[in-house]
Amino acid sequence: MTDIVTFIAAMFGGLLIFVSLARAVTSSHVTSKLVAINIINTKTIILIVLLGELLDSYLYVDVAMVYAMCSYVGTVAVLKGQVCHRLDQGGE
Amino acid sequence: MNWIYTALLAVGCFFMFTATVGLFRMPDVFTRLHGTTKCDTVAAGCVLTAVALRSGSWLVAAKILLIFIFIIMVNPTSAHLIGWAAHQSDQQESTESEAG
Repeated sequence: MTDIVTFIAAMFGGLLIFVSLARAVTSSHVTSKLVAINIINTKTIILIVLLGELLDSYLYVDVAMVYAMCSYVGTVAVLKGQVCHRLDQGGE
Repeated sequence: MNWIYTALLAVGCFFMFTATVGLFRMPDVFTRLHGTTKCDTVAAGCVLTAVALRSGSWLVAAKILLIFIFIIMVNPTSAHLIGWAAHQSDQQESTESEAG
């Protein structure tokens, strides 16, 4: 029974990831896109941990940890590259 | 134990859903950040706690706790950065419209 519950939760999370992706694609500003991408990252971490539970392989927990670090670095890099660059250009 | 696991997963899924609804319904970046970060933390906390209880191993539970601590540390930080950038670009746009 718990496997079915885990599977349903993982499918629901995956569906919500696609819905958030639609929001990220349709929003206009970079910061709005980043908010959507941020929530996609967290949902992906949850999904990887649920996948590890579903497949009875807890190596996926390590993958989720590395993914969490990479997603944070990615968010900061996009902010640094896009938004701060534009601010610098506007200040000149 | 199974009921606790199911209940925690259900609460986590509910908060993931409310975060997505907030992403669509809120009018600007700051309110969207408010909705998504709070629900992110609660949803991740519930689901990770459920999996940690289910795993039955102290090592796996400790790793999942590390992930949760990392999410708790990182999500407000990146939300602060996004809010700061949105505020700065808002200010810049208003300055440009006043000057132009």
